Amino acid sequence: MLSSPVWRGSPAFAFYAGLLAGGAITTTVLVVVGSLVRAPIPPPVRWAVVGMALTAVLLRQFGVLSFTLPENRRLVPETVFRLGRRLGPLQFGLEMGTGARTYLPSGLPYVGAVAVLMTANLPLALCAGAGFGLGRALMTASSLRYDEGDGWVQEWRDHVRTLTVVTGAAFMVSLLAIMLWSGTP
Amino acid sequence: MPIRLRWHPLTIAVLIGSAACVAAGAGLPPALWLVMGAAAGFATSGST
Repeated sequence: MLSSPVWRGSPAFAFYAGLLAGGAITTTVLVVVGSLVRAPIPPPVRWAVVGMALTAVLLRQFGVLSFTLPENRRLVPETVFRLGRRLGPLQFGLEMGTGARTYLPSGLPYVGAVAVLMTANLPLALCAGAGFGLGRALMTASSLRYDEGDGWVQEWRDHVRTLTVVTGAAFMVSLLAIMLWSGTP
Repeated sequence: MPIRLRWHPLTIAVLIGSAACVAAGAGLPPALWLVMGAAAGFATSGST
């Protein structure tokens, strides 16, 4: 669906804007809930929870552990485009950007959600949410420009293990630096 | 004929990793949260 010519020009930009907004909505909800959940928990314990989530997800990513993470196991329906050439892609992006509307094939967003829930204030949570949308937009933007077919997705499949390692490393470096620069523990 | 830039998934992943290292070195929390989110979002790309 993302390879379709209708994804050129302003519909694509509406989709990207939706992705960023969707990510920001999810992290806003997480930080609101998190401000209640984490109130009685001391900061070092909060980071320990994040560390446990990261460890569990990384072990799962590399096949050491096997467990199911909650996800919405269905595709965003085509009816989302009933709103028109721009609002349709905007809504589609919004739903994809929340991370709660369709499949999530990586465990990293779950760790990010736990980190936001346990440690982030609102501005930083918005940065994380916009970043999530940006990451998803990078896929769409680069695959649209790669070729006329699904060559980009095929490249992803061909290098999936390396990509898992590199994105996991980038995620861990960021998370560790956030912990160190926050002065905790 | 316009030049069409083609971004391989590995190129983007390495760029995100590089951004993580730069933000970590600079100690910029907003950038770190942004890059962490981008790494998580890009890691889900295999779904479509």
